[in-house]
Amino acid sequence: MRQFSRKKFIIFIILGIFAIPLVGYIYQWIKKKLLHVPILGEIKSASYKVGHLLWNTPFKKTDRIHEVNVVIIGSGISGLSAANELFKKGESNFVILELEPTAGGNARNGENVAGKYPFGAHYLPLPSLEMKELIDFLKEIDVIESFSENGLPIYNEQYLCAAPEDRLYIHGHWQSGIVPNFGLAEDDKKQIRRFQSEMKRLKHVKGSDGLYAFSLPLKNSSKDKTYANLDAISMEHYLRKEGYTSTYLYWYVNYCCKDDFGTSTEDTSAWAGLHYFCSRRGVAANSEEHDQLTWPEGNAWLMEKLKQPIASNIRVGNLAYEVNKKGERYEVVSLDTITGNVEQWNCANIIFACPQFVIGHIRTNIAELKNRSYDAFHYSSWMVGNLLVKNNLIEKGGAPLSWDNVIYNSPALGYINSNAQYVQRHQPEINLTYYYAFDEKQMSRKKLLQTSHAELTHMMLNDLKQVYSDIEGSIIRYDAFIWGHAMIKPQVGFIWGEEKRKALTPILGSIYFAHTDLSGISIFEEAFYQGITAATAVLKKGNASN
Amino acid sequence: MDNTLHKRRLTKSTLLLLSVFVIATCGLIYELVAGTLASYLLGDSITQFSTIIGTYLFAMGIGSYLSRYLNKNLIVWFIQIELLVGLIGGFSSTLLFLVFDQVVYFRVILYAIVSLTGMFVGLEIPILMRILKEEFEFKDLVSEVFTFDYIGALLASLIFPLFFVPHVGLIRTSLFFGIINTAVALWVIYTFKNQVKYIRSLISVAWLVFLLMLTCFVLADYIQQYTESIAYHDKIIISKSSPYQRIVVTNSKNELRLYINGNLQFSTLDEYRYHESLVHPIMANAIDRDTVLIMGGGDGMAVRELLKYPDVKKIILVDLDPEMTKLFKSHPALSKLNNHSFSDSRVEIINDDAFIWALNQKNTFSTIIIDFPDPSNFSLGKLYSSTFYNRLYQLLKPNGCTVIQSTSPYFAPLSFWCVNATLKKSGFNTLPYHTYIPSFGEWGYIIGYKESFNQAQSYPKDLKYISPILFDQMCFFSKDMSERPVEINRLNNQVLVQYFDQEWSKFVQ
Ligand SMILES: Cc1cc2nc3c(=O)[nH]c(=O)nc-3n(C[C@H](O)[C@H](O)[C@H](O)COP(=O)(O)OP(=O)(O)OC[C@H]3O[C@@H](n4cnc5c(N)ncnc54)[C@H](O)[C@@H]3O)c2cc1C
Repeated sequence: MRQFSRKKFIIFIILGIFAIPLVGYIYQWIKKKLLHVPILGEIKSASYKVGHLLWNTPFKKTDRIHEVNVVIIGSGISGLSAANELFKKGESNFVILELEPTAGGNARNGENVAGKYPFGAHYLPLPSLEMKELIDFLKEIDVIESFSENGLPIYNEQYLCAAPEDRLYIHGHWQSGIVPNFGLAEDDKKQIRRFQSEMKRLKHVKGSDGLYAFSLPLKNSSKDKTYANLDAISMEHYLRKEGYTSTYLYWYVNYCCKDDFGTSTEDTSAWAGLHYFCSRRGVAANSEEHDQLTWPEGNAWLMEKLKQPIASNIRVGNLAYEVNKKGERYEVVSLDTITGNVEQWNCANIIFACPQFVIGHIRTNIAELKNRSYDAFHYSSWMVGNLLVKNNLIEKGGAPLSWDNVIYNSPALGYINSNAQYVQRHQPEINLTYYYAFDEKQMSRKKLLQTSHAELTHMMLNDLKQVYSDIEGSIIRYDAFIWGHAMIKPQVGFIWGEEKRKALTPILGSIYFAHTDLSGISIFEEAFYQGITAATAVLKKGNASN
Repeated sequence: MDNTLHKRRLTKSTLLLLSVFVIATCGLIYELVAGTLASYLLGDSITQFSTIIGTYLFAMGIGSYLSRYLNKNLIVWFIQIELLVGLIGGFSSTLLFLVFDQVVYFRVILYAIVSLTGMFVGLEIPILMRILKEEFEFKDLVSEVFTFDYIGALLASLIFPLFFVPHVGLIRTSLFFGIINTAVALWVIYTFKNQVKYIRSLISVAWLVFLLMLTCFVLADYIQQYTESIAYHDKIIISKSSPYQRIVVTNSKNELRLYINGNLQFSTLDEYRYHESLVHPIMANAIDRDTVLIMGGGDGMAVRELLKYPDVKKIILVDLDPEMTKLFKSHPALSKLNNHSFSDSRVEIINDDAFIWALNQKNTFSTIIIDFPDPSNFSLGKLYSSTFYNRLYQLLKPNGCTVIQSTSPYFAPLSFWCVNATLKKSGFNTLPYHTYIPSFGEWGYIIGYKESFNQAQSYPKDLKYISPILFDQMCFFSKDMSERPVEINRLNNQVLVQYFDQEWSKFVQ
């Protein structure tokens, strides 16, 4: 009997050990199958698929022919900024062709019961005073209200990022600020401080040509080899070379590279990585130095301001799919993606304000255009998910919900509280906009575009459950925007490389290129200046021929 | 040995081992509940948890010691103790919630509960070993009993934080384990029916305890509400949850008190001091009293003061919460307090977000009274920001005046002077003043004006508190409340909320 009881006892224990997870599993299963309602929402993405289909269809003759001076292809920030510049200087004989049903490109937005939220770009750091054109624009649209006695801009405080600005979930606690600090050993903190003071130094350092080492727009940076040569090594290499070892510092720098470019430190050139830390010298009379401008709808707010004066020149839902030279002029052929109507735009100048990988597909009889090389242009892919939740999430200890909320060591980039800029006291629902830049090795573009809504939701939930164990009960819906070609990758050698320089060079003195991928860095400021530069060249040519 | 007999004995011993497991799990859960509640109330979770666990283990030792004195009817003792553990543990959190606002009693009851459960669990294991000693060899017995004991402890420590606290809540958690405890006791009773004396009374006691706890488990929400309500000391006459806030009105012998989200808004004993000081300094001498704007102040008391001026033609009150204004318009006891001011035809009530309303407003006003809740969180802090005051400046006529309730210059001087500095930054000239309100302490207000502000030489006749001489005194700030350097409160720094938090946390437990 004793023997038997011991055996039984052991069996009992083993059963018990299995029973605990089993009970848990059954509970989860019941909850999932019986009580679980799938999370609502949809996937949106850029309509390049439309393009892929149509680039193979042959040219249709059309009698809808328009005569304009300039055709701008693409109504992202680059295209809109070019159009604004033309308009401001008295040239209004132009058209903007935009493939999507609304203008704005990466700076578009959505809206739901909780308010507006970005599909992509969401903020603009305070610009340095050298960026005169941008400062002027911000003044024009009342983002800058006036200037203080010592010449510092006074910003409209509703557009400055609301406090509390950012926080990091690390070691089971929300610390305020995203530079790791909570629970770090003294040596890690020391390395982070060293890195920060080095960045501060590089921010104000100038090359032998008298230009800042790192500037915005990027083309105004010093060409001094001491700095330009940093484009030949990766950011990871730079950190190692400088003797940094702290894993927290590596995480932080990697996070910043991913957040700004969608690339890891290994895949980012050291020049680009440093540019992120050292090019922003923005100041204000009524804000901290590294503050940012932001709106619930993100940069779509700025986009609307750029769009407003020239809105009637935009043809949305029109894919530019063929460009031919006829004598001294060009014929741009576009297709209305809804009606199927084909239209022809005869013009003297073209500004390509669309990504380079698109231009590669456009049918053309122009050899110079056909022969452009796109081999060096690589793009990261992103998911921007918008989580509409009831405003009853239970927060873990530490800093309260902030505008930007980052989780240490998460595969994603954290989430923005898109409602932070609203001044309403009572917000029963809020939009948390969740950013995820994909590593090509883990999730190829193709696979990403095929991933179902349920899987994308699952990915997001797995991540956010670290900080909200009970989040499912609060979710109303989750809409994900998939950007297959979200941002150009500033890989080693790209920014100061030959390929990019060639791609930027106008063709035949009348075809211009303006897009952030030609900067190597996808940010509003670059798009803004790309547009101005192209428009200025068009205008200059016009003046010369008059 | 007869096979059936063998089997029956075996189930009995397995059942007893199972109850060790249940007792161990439940016992630890009760300690965790106690520790959690103690950390909520007394703070310093490290001290709370270590003293509670220490007490629990020590009490188990006492229990083990005492077990030697129990010699007869072991199984009856075992069942009784199991029922007791269930009863005490099951109701422990309810009991602790009930004494939540009485710190001294809370400690006594807390440690009593911990000691009792510890002692009973400590008694139970030796007794059980003695019951089972016939069935097992000693080394197996010790090993099995303790194995179950420790597995139970592991289970408890995992499910408590992961499942029970977030999903079930403390009151229901302890009741749930109390019910399990009793259920196992019942099972033991029925299994040992033939060996047990006093079986009838044991069974009825067990069922009674079981049903009692089951009822409480179902009604846990009401218990929660009740325990919350006694935190207010006085009788609650109104308790309403709107989508915006929780409104509670209490009544004691000679006063009514209004609480919003647990914070005292006024006591009828001295609210006239607060409202007379808020309204009359800028009203008594106003150049143009035609239209007055009030933001906040959904209790209608400020409106009552305004209606003392016959030349007021229109009062616009903007308050977020319709539930609040409705209550103070139609509840007999409450509308009496504000003299039925919300039923006056001159009063227009707008239930809207004050910030948004102000941003969209096209008219300007010569008198604006601002009576918002204190800046205790970021969403309220926005209503004290330079952006809001810039807008306020635009809403005010050139010869107009505004007044803002600005928290206490004594308890929260940085906060008070931060409001003042922010108003100045937005272009206002300011006149800060303060007065003593017994139920609040020293309280502050700030007048903002564009051109000039002249003190009144006389006030309406039927006032109980303010007078020209008193107002002169109100404008004087002693050194402990005097102006100090502060930052401007902006949407992008929200320093006021930080000041407020730091300053009040020194005074509030
Ligand atoms: C997820 C994400 C987050 C970002 N966050 C920020 C941020 O916070 N701050 C920031 O400054 N920047 C951010 N950016 C970078 C952003 O890309 C730039 O700021 C800027 O909006 C890019 O503008 P663009 O005009 O250069 O390009 P795009 O926005 O790519 O515009 C190109 C336009 O061309 C159209 N187009 C393409 N092909 C054709 C065709 N054949 N015919 C007609 N039209 C065509 C496209 O539909 C599109 O509208 C982010 C980008 C992404 C994807």
